Amino acid sequence: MIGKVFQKLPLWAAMVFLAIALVYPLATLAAASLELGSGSFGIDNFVAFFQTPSLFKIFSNSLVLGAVVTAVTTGLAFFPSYAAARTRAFSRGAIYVLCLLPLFAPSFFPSLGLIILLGPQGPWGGLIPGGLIGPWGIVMGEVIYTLPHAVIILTACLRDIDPKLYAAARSLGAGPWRCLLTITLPAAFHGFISSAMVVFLLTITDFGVPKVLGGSYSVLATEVYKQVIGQHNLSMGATISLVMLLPALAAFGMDYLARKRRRHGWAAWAEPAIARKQDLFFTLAGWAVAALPLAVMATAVWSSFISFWPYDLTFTMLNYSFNDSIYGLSPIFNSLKLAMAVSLCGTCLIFTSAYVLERQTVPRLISRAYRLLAIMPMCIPGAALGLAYILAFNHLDGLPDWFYGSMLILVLNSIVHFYSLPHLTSSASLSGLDPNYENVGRTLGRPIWTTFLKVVLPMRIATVLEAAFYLFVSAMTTVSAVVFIYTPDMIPASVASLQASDAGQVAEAAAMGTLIMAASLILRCLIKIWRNIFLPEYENR
Amino acid sequence: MDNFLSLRGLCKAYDDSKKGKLIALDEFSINIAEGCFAALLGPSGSGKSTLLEILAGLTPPDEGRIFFQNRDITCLAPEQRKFSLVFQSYALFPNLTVLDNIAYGLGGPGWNKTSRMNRALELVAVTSLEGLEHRYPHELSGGQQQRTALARALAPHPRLLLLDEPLSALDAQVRRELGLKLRHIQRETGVTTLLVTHDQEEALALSDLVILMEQGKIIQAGSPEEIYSRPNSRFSADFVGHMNTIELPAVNSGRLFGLRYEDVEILIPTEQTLARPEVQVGRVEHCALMGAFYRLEILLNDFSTSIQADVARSADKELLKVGAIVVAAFPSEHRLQLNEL
Repeated sequence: MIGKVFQKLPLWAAMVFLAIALVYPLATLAAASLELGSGSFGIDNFVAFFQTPSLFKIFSNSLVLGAVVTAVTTGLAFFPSYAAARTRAFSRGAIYVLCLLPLFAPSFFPSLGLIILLGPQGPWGGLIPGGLIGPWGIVMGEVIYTLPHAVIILTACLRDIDPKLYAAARSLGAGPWRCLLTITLPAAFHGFISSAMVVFLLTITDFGVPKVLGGSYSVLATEVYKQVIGQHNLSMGATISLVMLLPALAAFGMDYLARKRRRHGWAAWAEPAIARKQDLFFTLAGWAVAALPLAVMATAVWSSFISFWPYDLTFTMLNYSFNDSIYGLSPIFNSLKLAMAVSLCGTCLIFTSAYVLERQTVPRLISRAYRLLAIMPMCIPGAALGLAYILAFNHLDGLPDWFYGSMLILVLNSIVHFYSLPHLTSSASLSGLDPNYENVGRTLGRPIWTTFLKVVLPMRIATVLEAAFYLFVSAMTTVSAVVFIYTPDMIPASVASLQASDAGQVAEAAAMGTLIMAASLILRCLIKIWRNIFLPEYENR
Repeated sequence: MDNFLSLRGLCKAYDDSKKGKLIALDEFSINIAEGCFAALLGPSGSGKSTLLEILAGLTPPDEGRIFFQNRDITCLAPEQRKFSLVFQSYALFPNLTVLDNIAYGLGGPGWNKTSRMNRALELVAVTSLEGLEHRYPHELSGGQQQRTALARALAPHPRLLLLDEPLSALDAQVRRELGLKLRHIQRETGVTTLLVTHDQEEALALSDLVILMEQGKIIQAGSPEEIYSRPNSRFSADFVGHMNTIELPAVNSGRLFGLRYEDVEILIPTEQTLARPEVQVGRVEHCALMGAFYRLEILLNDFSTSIQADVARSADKELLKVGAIVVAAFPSEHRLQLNEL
C-alpha cells in the first residue's frame, strides 16, 4: 500500500506544486480584481474598465492587432510549411529551420532589427506611413515573433496527410495545383484554425514587442505593467490582466476544439512527387517568407557589433561590455542559472508526473483535475501570472523574507508559465508506448521503476530532451511574467535587454539578445550532436 | 494434482458509461492440473483476457479466490506470482536486443551475470532464435518476435505460462508452424500453460483441455475430442466446428437437429439412393473449393431449407455442378438432438 502511494509520488508532488504556484496566486489575483479598497468587494473595477473610453480603446487595440497579426502570420506561414512538408522545393529544410529562428530569442529581439531597418533613422524609415513606432510596428514585430509557432503547427499538420490520397488523386488525373486545392487545403483546415488561435493567443499576451515598438500606442499587456509599476494601481492591473484572459480563453477553447476534431493520420510520410512548376513557386515563396526573420534577426545581431549606428558603422565588441548598464554582464549569468534550474526541475517534475498519469492507474477524478491544471498555464497571460505572484507572495505572512526577491520565485514562476507544452508532449509520447511494458516487467518479477528506467526512459529520451530544451529556451527568453517579479540583483537577461532598449541603448539591447540567442543555439547544437553520436539503433524504427 | 491451480467463483464487472455494468466474469470456477495445456476458447468479449489479467495479478477480481498449490494467491502482487504473461502485442522492449529482452526477468538474488547469460542462451536455443541474439525487435519477423516474447516469458522458470492470443497477429502458415512449436516447447519444459484464443482450430489442435466460455461463464470444459464430438449445447456445437440446424417434417420425426457439414452425405439421385429413408432431394446452389474438400450449398426441395455440406475432392464431379440435383442424407448417428440440449 505504501509502495503504491510512493509510486504515484511525482503526480502528488506536481498537484501540490500547481496548487501553490498556480491556483493560489491566480485566486489572489481574482480577489484583488474584485477589491474596491477599504475591505469591500464588487465587480466595479470591471465596470469601470469597460466604461472608461481610454481603457476600452486599449482592449479593442489588442483585439484588432491580434486579428490582423493572426491573419497575416497564418497566411505567410502556409508557404514555408507547404514547401517543407509537401513539395520537393529546393532547400526546403533550410526554409523550415530559418522560419524557426525567432524561437531562440526574446519576442522583441526581431523588433530591434526592425528599428534598425525601418525605424526613423533607418535606411527605409520613410516606407511606413505614420512611422514604424505604433500599430504598424507592433504588427510587423508580432508577425515575425509568432511565425515559428504557426509554421511548426502547419507543417506537422501537412505532413500528417495520407500520401495515398495524392497518389489516388493523381491516378484520377489531378495535377499538383488541383491536389493542393482539393486535398491539402481541406485536410489542413484544423491546422489553420489551431495555428491561428495560437498566434492570436501569443499576440495579445505578448509584452516585449509592444513595449519596444508600441510607443504611445497601448495594448493590454503593456497597460497592466503601466497600471502596476507606473501608477501602483494593483487592483486595476489585476482587472485588466483578467480581462486579457477573456480573448485568451476564447482562443484556447477554439484551439482545443480544433485539436479534438483533428483526425490523426497514421500513414507514414512519403516523399512528395515531383511537380516542377509548383516546386519552383514554393521555393521562391518559402524563401521570401523565411527571409523575413533571417533579415531582421541578422540585422539585430549585426547592430550589436556596430559602434554607433547610424553614424559610425565600424566593428566593435564594446557593446558586449555593457558599460551603459548598471548590471553589466551579470544578467546573462542570472538567466543561465534560471534557465538551467527551470529546465532541470521542470523536466523532472513534468515528465515523471506525466508518466504516472499515463501509465499507472489513477482515479479518473484526479487525472482529470491534473490534466486541467496542467494545460491552464497555456491560456494565462504572462502579465496576469506575474502580477498574481506579486500579490500572492510579496509580504505574505509567514513566508521568509528572502523568498520574494530570490531566484526561487522566478524559477517557480517560469516552470508554471511554461508547464503546458512539455506536459502535453510528454503525456502524448508516453501514452504512445505499448501499454503493457510495465505489466510484462511485473509478471517477470521486475518492479515498475525498473521498467521505467530500463525501457520507458530510454525509449522517450528524445521527448525528455525536447522538454528540457523548450523549458531552457523559454526561461532564457521570457519577459511578460518575470518583468513583474525580478529584483535588481537577479535581473534576467531578457528583461535587461528590454530595459536597455527602453533607455534607447538599442545596441546593448541587441547585444544582450544576441547572447541569449547564442546560448539557446549552442544548447540546440549540443543536443543535436549528442543525439547524432548516441542515436540508438532502435530509434530508426 | 487437481489442486495445482484452482479458480473459485471469480467475478469481475466493468463500469461502462453507455451500457452500465459490463460483466466480464461470472462465477468462474475451474481446476487446472500441473503440466496441462489448457485453452480458453470463446468469442471476443467473452471475458477471456480479463481472466488472464486476474491470474497474472494485474487486475483484482471483484469476488472469488485463486488457489495455487493450495495457497490462496488472490491478493499476491504480480511480481511475486511467477506467472509469465505473453501479450497479444508481445510488448517486446524495442530498446533491448533479443538477448536482453529474454534476460529481462532474470534479475534479483539467485542470478549473476553468467547464470543470466546461460539461461538466456538456453532459451534462444529452445525457441530456435540462434543468430538473432543481437537484433532489435523491429528487425525481426512477426514469428521471430513471437518466439522472443515466449522465450522472455519462459526464462525465469515461471510456475504458470499465460498466453493471450499469441498467434493471432501472424499469417496462416507461420501460425500453424508456431502453434506446433509452442506445443512442443510446452511438452519439453512441462510448464503448465493457459492459452487464450478465439480460434477453435488452434484450441483443438494444441490443448489437452478446452474451456469454452461465453459472457464470463464456462459453457463446456473437456478434452478437444469431447468438445467436438459431444457438444453439450447449441453454443458449443456452433462455435466449435460448423453445423447445420435442420427441421424437416420427414426427417428425425420432425424434430430440430444439428448436423456437421462434413457429416451430411451427398449422393447422386438413383432409385437406390432415393429409396433410402429420411433423404431429401436438393439443388446445388453454390460450390466452393475449400482446399482439401468442396463446400456445397444445397437448397432442399421444401424450397426454404438451405444446408451446407463438405464433400471430398474425390467425389463424383456430377455432384459439384451448380444446378445439379442431388440427394442429401442425414446419418442418424451424427445427429445432435438440439431440443434436448
